Amino acid sequence: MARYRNLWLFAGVALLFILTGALQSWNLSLNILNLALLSAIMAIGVNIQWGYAGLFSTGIVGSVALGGLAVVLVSSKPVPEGWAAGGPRIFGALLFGALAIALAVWLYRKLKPGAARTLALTLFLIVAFFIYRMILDPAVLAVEANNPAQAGNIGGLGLNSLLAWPVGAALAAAAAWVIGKIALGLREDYLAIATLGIAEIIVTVMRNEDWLDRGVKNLIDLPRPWPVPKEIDLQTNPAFLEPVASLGLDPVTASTIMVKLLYATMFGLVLLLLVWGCERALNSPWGRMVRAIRDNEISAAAMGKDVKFRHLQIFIIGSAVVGLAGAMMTSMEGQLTPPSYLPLRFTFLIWVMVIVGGSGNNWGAILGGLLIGWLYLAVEFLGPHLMEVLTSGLPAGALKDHLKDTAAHMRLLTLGVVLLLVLRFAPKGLIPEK
Amino acid sequence: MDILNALVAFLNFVVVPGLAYGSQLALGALGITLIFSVLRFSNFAHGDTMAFGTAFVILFTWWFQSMGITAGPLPTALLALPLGILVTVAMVLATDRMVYRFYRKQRAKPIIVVIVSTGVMFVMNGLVRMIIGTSEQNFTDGARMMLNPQDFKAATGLAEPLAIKTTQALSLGAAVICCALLFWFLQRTRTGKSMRAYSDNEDLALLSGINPERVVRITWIIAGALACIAGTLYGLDKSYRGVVYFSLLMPMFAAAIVGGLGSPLGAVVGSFIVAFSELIVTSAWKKIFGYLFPPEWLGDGLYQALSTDYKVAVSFGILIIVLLIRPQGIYGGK
Amino acid sequence: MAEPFLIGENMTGGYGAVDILHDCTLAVEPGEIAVIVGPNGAGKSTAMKAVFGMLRLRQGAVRLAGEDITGLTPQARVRKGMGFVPQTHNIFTGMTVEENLEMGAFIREDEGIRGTMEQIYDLFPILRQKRFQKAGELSGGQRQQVAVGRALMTQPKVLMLDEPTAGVSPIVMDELFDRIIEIARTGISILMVEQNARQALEIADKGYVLVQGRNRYTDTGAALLADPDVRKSFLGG
Repeated sequence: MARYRNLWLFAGVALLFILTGALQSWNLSLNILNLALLSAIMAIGVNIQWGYAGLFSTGIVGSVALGGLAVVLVSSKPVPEGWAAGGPRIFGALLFGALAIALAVWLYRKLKPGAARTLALTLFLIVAFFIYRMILDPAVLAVEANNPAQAGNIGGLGLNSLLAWPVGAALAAAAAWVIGKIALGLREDYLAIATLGIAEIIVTVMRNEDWLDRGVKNLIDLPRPWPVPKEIDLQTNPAFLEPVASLGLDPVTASTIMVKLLYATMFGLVLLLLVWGCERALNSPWGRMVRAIRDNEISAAAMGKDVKFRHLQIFIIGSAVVGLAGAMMTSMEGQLTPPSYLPLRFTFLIWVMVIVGGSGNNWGAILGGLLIGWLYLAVEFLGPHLMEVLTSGLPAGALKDHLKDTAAHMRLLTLGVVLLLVLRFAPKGLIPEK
Repeated sequence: MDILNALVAFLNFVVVPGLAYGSQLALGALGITLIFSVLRFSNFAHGDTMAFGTAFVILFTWWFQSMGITAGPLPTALLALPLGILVTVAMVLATDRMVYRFYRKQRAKPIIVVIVSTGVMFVMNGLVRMIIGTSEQNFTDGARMMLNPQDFKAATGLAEPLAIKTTQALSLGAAVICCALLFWFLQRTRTGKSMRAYSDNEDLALLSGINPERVVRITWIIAGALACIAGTLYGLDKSYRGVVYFSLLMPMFAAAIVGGLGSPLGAVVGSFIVAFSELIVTSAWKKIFGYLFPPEWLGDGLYQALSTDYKVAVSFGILIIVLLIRPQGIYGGK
Repeated sequence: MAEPFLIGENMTGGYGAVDILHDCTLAVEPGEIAVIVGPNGAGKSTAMKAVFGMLRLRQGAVRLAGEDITGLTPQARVRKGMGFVPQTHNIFTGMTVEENLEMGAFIREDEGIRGTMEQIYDLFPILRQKRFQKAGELSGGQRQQVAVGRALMTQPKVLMLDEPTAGVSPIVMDELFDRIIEIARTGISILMVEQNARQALEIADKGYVLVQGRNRYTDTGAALLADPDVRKSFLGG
């Protein structure tokens, strides 16, 4: 029994999805499955950070959002007028900003410490900031003035959104490098606090910088990643219609399910590839060193291991995996909606998945991702049902209405309670680390 | 050149709101720093504790208002505040008993307790949503202005008005009173000193016969009360939405770290640094500059370094600078 | 022979599965200075911690004035009249000297705290001068005085010191030993672990030489200093 425990756990989760499909609809079930698979990939990224190195980041939502941004930049339709209005100048401004910061860092190292250095650098940065704004602002205004109802942004490259996936990972990795450089090697809490801030800034940028991604106006109609077709195209494609008709299925439903199955296959492949890579890495000399560092930082440091560098490395790899999943999610949804990047949904939910699944164990992270991913979305249709049953004895009235309304908020409460219970009573999670 | 009007505009747009906002942050950051110094973890649930307390203050305020009880020119919420504090304190004590105590006995690593605190944050956030919903609630009543801009203009004859909202004055007043009481408590009373001793050297405090559970309890009571007061003042000043308190975490953490985590004085100083930096960076200086420089120098820019949407970037920037240059903060925390 | 005032008798035990102490006995009379010396890793500090209740004994007992206190926590032993000065982290660095003394007296409910504080200021005059300064800002020797003063605030009958002279200069060490003799003259028993064996035995009424958690030699301080075996093995000739 114990030997097959993990198999049973996965079978149980599979049953949940099958039941959802049989009792509700297969479209819903597959939809949840796809999001759960993406969550599982994010959970693997977080598990790399937490399980391998004990790093607690509260900025996962930032990596997810950067992944989404990558899809917009790589695969959304080009807006030649918008680009012409100020695209190069915006990039010039960003380049200037990066150079100014690099110069400031260089000066900080070159100059002698003291009040003079602080003053000089502060002045330098203030002046540089205003020059940056002088370059940037007119360009932004020009770009955003171009057809604001439909565009108002610089547009993307119009490439296949499959290409955006590694770009998403790279963007998230770059952000992780910056923040890791600063916050690692200090108290553990500082990484948590700093990542909370950077994530909030990333999401704020995406919400407000219309020239980049149209902000809260959302960016829709992103192309499908290769090889996923559009449902409309499938429904007119005889090669698809004939076998469907011979099976006696409804072509519309069949096409939507077909598309979702394709996504599920792609996501599943990526997931398996990642797990294979992680397992190999974990059992390599590198993995043994990483675990040695985690289990005893002081003695590992005494043996000449560069703890901070390893932590930075792991932090970047984990963030890149999350960024990859973020890009995959946006390319599946076909639209970027910056207001939907909520820390509760993309940071803390993923944490619950990792902790419930079993920190330090990739299969645990996947199980947690699938299970909690299912729960989180299933509560949406189960919650009201449950409240209906619970309040059936009550007379109709304000109290009953209020209770039904609160069902929508039950989710957070439930997640919090689950997290606390698991941490308290089963801190190793469902599939403990070997 | 019209220095007087420029000064009034500066007072109106930066100094007055900065003092009010800094006061609100300070009351919150004090709780964070106290919890850090005694319980030794960064409490991510603190913002939602503030939201929780404020939700109850609002409920009690409505109850008082429905009975026709008001506080005259002052907001009715002040009358409801003691009741709200009681509920908040009961909540944090219950949380400590049911959640944190276990990890304290185990001597769990601080980072585990930080994760636990995010779980508590979830629960509190869910409770707040269930109790009072996610929409905006306005519970401010009484006189809106302590210093009416028209009166100020009439009295001084200046073109630029100066307004002081009642809630702004209240925030500063409450912060001064709370800080004075807290510092008196920590510096002068035996219990306060035992709290400092425990935070300074846990083992020696035990040897000296200081009861750790009592110290922890008092810390939660103070932090809970301060959180409720801070949340209420912020809600009165800016109107209440349960979800915005999460975003106060960043400025409060930044304030506590700038001052030095664990140092109460540092938390207060850090809060005003963060508050004024936010306002200086996100204010439009055009009006103030307009009095100082001839219009042809200025052009039509707003002279705003960052839009108010990016105020989180300011506290984050401060945090980064401190982590890079002086991670122990101004007053050398832990 | 009558029962000593404080005795840790036949103590056997350690922190984990492995015993560090084996049938080790320490005792001290009122007004007497007992010094525990021995090579590194001999279990000197462990033996003292066992007397103070900071580790569980598998065998043996600790008795204070005839009362069995083996089962009491360190905190309870403080209330019974034992004072302990740890080797490190023995002061509240962020608090003033006076607050350190005040915290030392935390368990006292009586009115005499002020008087005890004056006695300690008389014993360590430098502390009176620096009483409003943060203890963390003082020199090493002054910090040790604060640490000893803090432990004396409960008016203990026994004062236990874990390497009080670790890391201080020879001059400061002599000064500290003088103070310790003064404290003993007021009738307080002193039990201390010392690295500087020769100097410590010079002021000791009784000396214990421990080796690998066992009593090797036990005698008066002067006798141990005179013993050629002890000199050769433990005092460097």
